[in-house]
Amino acid sequence: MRTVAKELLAAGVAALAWVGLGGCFWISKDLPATTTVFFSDLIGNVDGPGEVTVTVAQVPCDGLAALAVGWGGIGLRFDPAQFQVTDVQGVNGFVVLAKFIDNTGGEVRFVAVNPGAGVATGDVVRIIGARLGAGDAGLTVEEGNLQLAGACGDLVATYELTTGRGAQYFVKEGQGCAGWD
Amino acid sequence: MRWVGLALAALSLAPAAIGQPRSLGGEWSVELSLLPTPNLGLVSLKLQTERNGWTISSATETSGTWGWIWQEFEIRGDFGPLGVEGTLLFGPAVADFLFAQAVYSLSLADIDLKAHTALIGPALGGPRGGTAFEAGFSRDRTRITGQLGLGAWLPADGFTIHHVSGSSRTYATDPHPGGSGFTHALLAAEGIPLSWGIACDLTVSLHKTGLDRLSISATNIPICCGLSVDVEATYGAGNGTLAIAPKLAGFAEVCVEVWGEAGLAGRTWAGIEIDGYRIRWGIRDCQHLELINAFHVSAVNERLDPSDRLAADGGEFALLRLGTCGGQYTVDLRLFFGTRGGAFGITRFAFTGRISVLANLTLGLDATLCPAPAGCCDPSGGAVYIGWAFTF
Repeated sequence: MRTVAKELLAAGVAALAWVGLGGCFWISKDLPATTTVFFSDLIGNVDGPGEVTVTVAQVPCDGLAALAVGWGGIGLRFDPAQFQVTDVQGVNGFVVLAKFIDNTGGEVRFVAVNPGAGVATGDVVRIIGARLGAGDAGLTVEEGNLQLAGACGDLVATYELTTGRGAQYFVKEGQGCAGWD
Repeated sequence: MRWVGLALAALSLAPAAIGQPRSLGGEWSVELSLLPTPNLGLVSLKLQTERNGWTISSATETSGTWGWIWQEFEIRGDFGPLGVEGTLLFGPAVADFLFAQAVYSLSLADIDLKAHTALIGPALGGPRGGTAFEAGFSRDRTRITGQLGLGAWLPADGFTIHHVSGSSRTYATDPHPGGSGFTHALLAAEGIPLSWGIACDLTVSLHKTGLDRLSISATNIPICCGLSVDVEATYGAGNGTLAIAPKLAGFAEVCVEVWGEAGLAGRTWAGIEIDGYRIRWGIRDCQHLELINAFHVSAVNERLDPSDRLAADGGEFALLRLGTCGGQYTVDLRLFFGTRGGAFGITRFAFTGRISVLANLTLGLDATLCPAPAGCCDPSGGAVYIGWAFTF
């Protein structure tokens, strides 16, 4: 094939790639349309620190001011063969008032409040510990065992709940809901 | 796995477009675990071929424990003055596409322009992606750089994708939050000449949510008698770093870094909370002694490389590091100290050595041993690896 034809073909392949892929690059994950509580994947290296981040989105009533997990008696369940919890820490102004950690049965309960201002969308709490395996962390929590209170003083009764699993590939920031506008 | 097929199809077209490859080169590296149990560690194979200024490369990483971890393809070349670099990353462990990045660069006299586009796949919380633009102007020793991120940005430490094994890949472009809205802006001026030979650097970085980082540094501030000092202050996200490096001409160089956070009680300024400090003494060209002391371990760990991080649950609070090298070898020795250590409070001893036995063959030894069961070397109390890297 002559040199000029080869160069034209190469330029055509590049232009096609730019046009074809350009639309793929400029996309964002849509913000949930309804109030959502999101328990992220368990991220971290095996035999290293692991963490699960609790995030909320589109919380009405001036944003989330308090979150209780384990209100109905059973908190966030996890597989103790995959994850051992050592602490529950508030982020974005949230303070953990009380916590209960059971690494034998695999359960954690906590109450977190934000004395400053409500958070409509963002991270609320970080559950940290040690990641023991690369399998499914078995994160489960029932809606009836959560209680959300807004900064306006009312309870937030309607929301969607999502829980993650154990992620083999992860990034430390922008995981799950983080990165939404 | 459709993405793998598309990538293979695209790569099969590339040689047809650019002609027959002239040569095949690369690197093969192997790591063997001796302790706690003999096992095959990380095996990495990089292949590269070049023709008419275009380079196509493939990087594969596997592990005896985890199997096939990473598969990366890269193509790099020029369309006249326009430079093009494309990368595709796949995660065979979950049989899915992970990340794609394209960088377009153009140089015009003293000005260089770049456009970075990146995309992450569903396995990493995507699909989401965006574009970041970068422009730089250089004149004499002064350089001015501007960045604008639309749905993506260019972190100073890069964007890192981790695997549970501890292996990771780092790229220039972070495709969060995605879309085309304003995300990040940065303006930096380096090498601004001041009086008495002093040079100044200034960096302002803004995120959509507010100030990300403000950094000011001045180098070669003369004191007297051949003594000069470099000073750098960085503030961002409620914490800051102050680094002071005195230098004696023709002799050793010492750098002291102090890490702290703004202490706030509500909205009231309550002082500066010191998280820790680092003292680094450069003895000769590649010989150095370094001491890190942490008052707040989690805050200090955020500023350290993963291999240097202190184990808070092991009561670690300090690291002493000695590095040295010769013509063919490099050695790095790290001692970790903690409240639950053995003799002298040592909780961990880590050694890394590399020696070039041939022009294209390097042997390595990595060892981590714990004199006391403090949780710092779980599960077994230590690990020893040997390995080699062969380039061809």
